[in-house]
Amino acid sequence: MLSFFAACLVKLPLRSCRISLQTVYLLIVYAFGSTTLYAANDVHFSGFASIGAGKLDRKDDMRFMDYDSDWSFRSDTILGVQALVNVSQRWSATAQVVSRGFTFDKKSDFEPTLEWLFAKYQWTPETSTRIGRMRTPLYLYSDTLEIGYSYPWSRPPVDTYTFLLSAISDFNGLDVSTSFDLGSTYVDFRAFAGAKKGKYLEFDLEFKKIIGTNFKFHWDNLSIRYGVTVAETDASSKSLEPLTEGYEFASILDPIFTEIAEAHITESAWFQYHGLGLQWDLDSWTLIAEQYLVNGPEEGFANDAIGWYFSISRQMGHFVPYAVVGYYKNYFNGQVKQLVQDSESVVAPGIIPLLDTLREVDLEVIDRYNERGESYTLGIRYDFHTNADIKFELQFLESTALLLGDELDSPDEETLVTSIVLDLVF
Amino acid sequence: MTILKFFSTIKCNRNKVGVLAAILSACSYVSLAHAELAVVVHPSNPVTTFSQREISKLYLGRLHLFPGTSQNIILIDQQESQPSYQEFYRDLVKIRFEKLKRYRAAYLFSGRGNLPIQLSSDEKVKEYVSRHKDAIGYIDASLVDASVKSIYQFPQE
Repeated sequence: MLSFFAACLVKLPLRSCRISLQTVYLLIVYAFGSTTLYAANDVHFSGFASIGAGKLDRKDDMRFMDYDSDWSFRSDTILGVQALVNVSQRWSATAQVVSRGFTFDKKSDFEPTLEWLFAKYQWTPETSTRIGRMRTPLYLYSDTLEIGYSYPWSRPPVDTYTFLLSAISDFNGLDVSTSFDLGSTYVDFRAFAGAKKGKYLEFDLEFKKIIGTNFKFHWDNLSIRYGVTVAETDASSKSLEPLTEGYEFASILDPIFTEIAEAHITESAWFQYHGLGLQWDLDSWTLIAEQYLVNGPEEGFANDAIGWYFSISRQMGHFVPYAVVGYYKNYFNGQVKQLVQDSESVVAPGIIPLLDTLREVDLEVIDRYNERGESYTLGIRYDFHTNADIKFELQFLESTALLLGDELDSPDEETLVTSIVLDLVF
Repeated sequence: MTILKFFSTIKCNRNKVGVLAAILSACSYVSLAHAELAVVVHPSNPVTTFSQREISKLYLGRLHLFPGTSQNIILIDQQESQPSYQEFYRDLVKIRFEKLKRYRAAYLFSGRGNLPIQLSSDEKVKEYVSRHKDAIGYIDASLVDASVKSIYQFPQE
């Protein structure tokens, strides 16, 4: 089983997180086949689903996820199945395949994606190692991004669970986790390392090395989490090529234009991702708050970003009304802008119109990344069944299109998203 | 609820004379609502005793082998409608039911392990534990016999 598992993992193209239905079928058949060796209860199948409907109040073409002004069922609709196999006392294997109505690489709508595939070895009651494809623990809810049943909202708060980080939301590698008591505090610790290739809108991203740790401190009613991840990153985009080519051509005028061209490249750039979160249960009230910070290099095509949200909810019988406030800001590093301004003293505006246009367009493109967003959310969750809930949510977003995952930029930044999501676990 | 908790902390020893009748009647009510529970394992299990914290960790899936052994754990649970279930999670594991359900969904689908097997009565739990060397469950303490080993009693004497 393990050799098959390992072979399967190696065969999967790193570039794509997707596998064919046939592979999934083979995995499941193989898992079933292997039950002859072990007791029947050593293979466990389970699943989850969210069926979401939503619309925007906007009449123009701007979208949030795939929502527009008409009701549609794609964006929040997710189906997942999981197989967990206990191979021996200490070895187990988990595979999870998820089909989502909306993804940010714009390719895999409802295409089954292998989100988790790992083998786990349990060293002691508290300590284990996993090898395979796992979720990058950037946030409190990283492990259960798609399990709507596990959180109060229609979807994790958009300001923090930013789509910019969707490409690094999982990785291929290994991790070690352990837990221990520190007085009355229960501590979860995890360290991990790996790599990942992915896409975000028109960007091809390669995280050549991902290394991180994660601490969770639990008391009876309070959990606090801190995680830091560093990633050596290459990023490229076809949409930037006309700009870099233009500057390279202009380098016959002055070497500064070579510098500008190079400032559009992200190569082996180390980014840091910090995440701080807390969950506090006070009788029937629950407070959840998280803040993240992305710290990029000062040179090249790179950004810093911060985001946070604060959520308050109250359990009232089977109902959970909730309110969330969130904020997000992306700071693009100033190198390109500085160099473009410097170049104006070398070749002044008005001399070469084509160069003027190039610089103008470039500054506009750069400025699009200096964006900010706010969100205000009100909603109610109703647990109508042991394994199912339904949520009704109104989310007011004030944000540029890029944060929302849309390439269309619009001066009108206000959007009201209405959504109804039904979550199931089975 | 607070009153019940208060009374449940009072030792319901009926041999003691001189206890107010009102408290006695409250105690007998409490003893009906809060049957004594025993956490039981297979007699061959090397574990002899557990702390409340260890049991809480076990049922939150924070221990993946029996402490001090290389023995796997099969958690046996009761059904939500049963009084044992409610008492067990409220007073021993100390987690709200709604939170527990969400926690379990997150636990399962982040690949951390299996969920407990739910059985519909104390007798069924006892029978399962007596037949499976890796199993652990909780039952009404009055049902404990040689087929299972009690490693924790609740409420504690």
